[in-house]
Amino acid sequence: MASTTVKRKTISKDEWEQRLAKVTVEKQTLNQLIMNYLVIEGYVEAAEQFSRESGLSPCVDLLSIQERREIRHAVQAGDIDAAIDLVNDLNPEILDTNPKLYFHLQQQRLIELIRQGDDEGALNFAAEEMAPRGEEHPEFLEELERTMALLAFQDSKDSPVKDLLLPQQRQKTAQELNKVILLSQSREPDPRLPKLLNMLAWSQEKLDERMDYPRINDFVKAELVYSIDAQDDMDTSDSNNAL
Amino acid sequence: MSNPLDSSSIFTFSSQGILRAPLFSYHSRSARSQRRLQRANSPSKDESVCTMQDTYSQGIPAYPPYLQSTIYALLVEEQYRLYCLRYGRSIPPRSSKHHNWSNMLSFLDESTTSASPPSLPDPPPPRFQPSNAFLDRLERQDLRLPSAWNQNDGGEDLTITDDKLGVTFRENPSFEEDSPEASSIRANHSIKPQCGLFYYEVDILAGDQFADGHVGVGFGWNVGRTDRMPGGDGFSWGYHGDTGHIFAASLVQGGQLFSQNDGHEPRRHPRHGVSNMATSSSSSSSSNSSGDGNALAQLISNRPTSSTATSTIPPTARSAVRHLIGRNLRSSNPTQLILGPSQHRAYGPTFGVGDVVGCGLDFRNNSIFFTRNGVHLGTAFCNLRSRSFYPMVGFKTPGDRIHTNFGQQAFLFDIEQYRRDEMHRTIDTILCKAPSPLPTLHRPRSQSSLPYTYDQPHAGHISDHHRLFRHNRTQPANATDAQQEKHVLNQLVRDYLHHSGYIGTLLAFQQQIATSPHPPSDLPSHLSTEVDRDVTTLRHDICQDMRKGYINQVFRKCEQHFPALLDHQPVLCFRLRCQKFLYCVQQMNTSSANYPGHIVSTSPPMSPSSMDDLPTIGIKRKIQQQDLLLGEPPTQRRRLDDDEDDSTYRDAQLCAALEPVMAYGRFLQDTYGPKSVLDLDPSQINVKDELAATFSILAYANANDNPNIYLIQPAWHESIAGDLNQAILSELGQPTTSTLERAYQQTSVAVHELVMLGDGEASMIPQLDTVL
Repeated sequence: MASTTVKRKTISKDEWEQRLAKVTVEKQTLNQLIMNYLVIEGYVEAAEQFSRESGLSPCVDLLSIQERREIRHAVQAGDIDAAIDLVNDLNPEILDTNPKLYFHLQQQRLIELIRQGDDEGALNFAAEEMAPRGEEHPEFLEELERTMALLAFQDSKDSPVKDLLLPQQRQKTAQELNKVILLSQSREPDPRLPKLLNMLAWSQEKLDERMDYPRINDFVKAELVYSIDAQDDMDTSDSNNAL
Repeated sequence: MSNPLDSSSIFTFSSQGILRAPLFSYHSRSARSQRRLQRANSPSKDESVCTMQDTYSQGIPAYPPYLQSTIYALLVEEQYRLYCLRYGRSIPPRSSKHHNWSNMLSFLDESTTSASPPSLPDPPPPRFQPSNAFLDRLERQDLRLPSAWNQNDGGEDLTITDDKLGVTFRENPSFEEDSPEASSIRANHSIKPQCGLFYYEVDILAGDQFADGHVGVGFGWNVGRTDRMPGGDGFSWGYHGDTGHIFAASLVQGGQLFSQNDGHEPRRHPRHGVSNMATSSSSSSSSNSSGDGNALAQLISNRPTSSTATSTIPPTARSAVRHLIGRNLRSSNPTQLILGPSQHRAYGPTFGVGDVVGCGLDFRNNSIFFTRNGVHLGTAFCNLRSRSFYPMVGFKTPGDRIHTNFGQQAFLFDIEQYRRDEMHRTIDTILCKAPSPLPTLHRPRSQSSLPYTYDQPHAGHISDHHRLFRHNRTQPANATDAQQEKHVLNQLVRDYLHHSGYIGTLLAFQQQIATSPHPPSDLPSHLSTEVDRDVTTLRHDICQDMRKGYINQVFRKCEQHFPALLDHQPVLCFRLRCQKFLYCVQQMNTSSANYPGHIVSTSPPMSPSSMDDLPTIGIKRKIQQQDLLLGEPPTQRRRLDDDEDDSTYRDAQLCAALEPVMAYGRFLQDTYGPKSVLDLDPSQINVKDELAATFSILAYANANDNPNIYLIQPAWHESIAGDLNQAILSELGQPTTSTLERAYQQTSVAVHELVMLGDGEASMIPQLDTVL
């Protein structure tokens, strides 16, 4: 049964599509995925509309979604002070019990100061606020160094860490904050929708090792792509352990 | 009367649904030599030759309860349905959660006594595709799990009970010279990797006064000897009650030496990570390659000077053997197994009479664990070579008796919880998995070298999606990736909302994205044009009408906006018409609610009467004709009636109401009754049955009595609305399924395929809708 070279199986496109068509997905399942995503990511109006249109209840207080959305918007707009105020209004313990999060918020503050060109303010801030935090938690020092590297250049855009200035950085911070808030409310911090895509990527990758089949490469379009050529080069190093 | 038994027919189900094993021959000494001969001539082989017929001709499939809601269970169900379809049995309804041993008996009773089991009806007939490669593969797939001991695959002096679950060793001690010291027996089927995790328990019963219950339990390949305890040769692995040690022989697999964990404590809590205790000592064997005689020389030179006997094998011997085997191996086929002496080490407590010992086989890493009296003892062996494992139990003390549970009863150890925990762990591993630099497995060819066709100009971008979603989920690698991920997800959501017609949500969603700080710039938006908005609204409205059952509205709007729709979709058209009929009947019933009697029509289908005045051209014209509810000449119909004086009045009133309905019914019958009229794909829909079911509504005064009540229930309406939605999208030239749904389907089929191929990790994942 075991052999050193395993012939790669092929599944025809027709057979695969037939099997795909057999998989019935409950509308309810998908709706729940969507609602879960809208709620966690904070799209409160969309969640509201969705609950009306689909009949699915968001299972959360819409106000709490709104609060999280405001906080997220504040971070994304670069107004970290406002975000911190809002978080403290919501739950003062969150920042106390999450040093890493607080550090990242401070880091974002620093970045914003640098972005505004306030070098002196930035240095003061770094000395007063960031350094002590770095002392308490040495694991943050590396990130602090990266942030300081922004200051090392006349034009921060020349620095190798210029990605910190991108809006993506704000979103990263916002996402982290959102997650921690959800955890503090005993809610699941991550939406379930990405998990489907994770499973898709994982299962396709695993299946790639054994056979040729129609694949989805672009998750946005979700079209089946099928290899035209049959196996030309079979890896002789292929020795599957199972079967 | 007792037939020679082969291993495939152990389970039979009597008509009363009672488990009953066929008769077996009592193990007597006179038969011993006969059996030896039999064994020599026809060693029990892998059940590679197995047809569905063997498995299911004896009844519906049964599997242990802890395998519920696994993909294995799905596979078994599918296989059984295929069997029913191909071999003419009635197809059971899709109550997929209930086929396990505990519910099996009740199901059997139902299916044999009543025509339609009173569980959830399955409205659309199973979409049976014509024979294809996949179904053929499914038919050939052997999914049977061990369910009993196989007395043809056992050693000497073993007595097995009727139900094949109890074994006694040497009840009547004999003192033949060639009596083997130990005797083992294996189960009837091998453990299929598709189940992901297999578990069974052995209950050690009280034997005679000398029986101490020191048996050995575990797993073995069926090529192993049966005159040894499990672990006594290279083909089995066992946990022995007398010492509490685990036993296995050194094996070589694939060039690497498999050796027992030298001196490490067995892990008691596998939750902290599967202990990779069988770390290969390939480094030592490869390092010995140059120093050829070194290990052997050391064996001689390092002999202990004192003559005290040691119980453990000295390390010099071990390394010498390793060296020898390593050298032998290089010259031979690496897949050949070379055995060393059986080794053992401490593992767990001893056990004996009164204990319940469990054995589990986990296919994620081919590992074995044991439990004792409900307590998990830790992983015993892991990374075993993939071959067919059988449950195996061995005896050496005469009089020892055991009873086995392969899943027929509840287990002492909470295997269900354990399995659930392991499932979650597997999923977490999958979802948090970082891109893995696997050196040993076949590396998938890099994206760029794959001979795929890309429809997109920016082909490199697409492979990024895979990379994005294989990243460590707890912390995206960088912020740009996170944003791209979000972009993909948002697109998925929008596409779904558009597809399902949730326009309000879609607009709100797009609005919120647009007004958030830093909205993505390259956002193709749905519903950007007025036209798109109108069309989508219309589509949504029509489907909503269908959901609420306003069938006339549906027809009207369809004709107005999508005139060719019904022509392109004959199945849908048929169903809509049936709905119309039902709707009319219901209207009629409610309007004449005060009528005490009831109408009983002839049994469906009704006999067509002459319809000369109906135009024969164009189906559309017919619809319009019926819609107008013109009066038709009175036709024959039977009617049950009380002997009332004003029956004639009521009769006439009812006649008027009933007439157009019956006319429409006749029209349906004419159109869909004859087989050749429309070529509706028989594999997709059973027209005759559905038509009959539709007409049957006339036969019941109280609609709730009707077994075909599903036709007027919301679930069915929802299903038709979904079909309608797809039909309209198809008319508009847009994709009929949402990308989210396609992603779901692809994942489902890919995982399914992995399980069928025997991938252990995939087999541990539960069905997709429970994961999400």
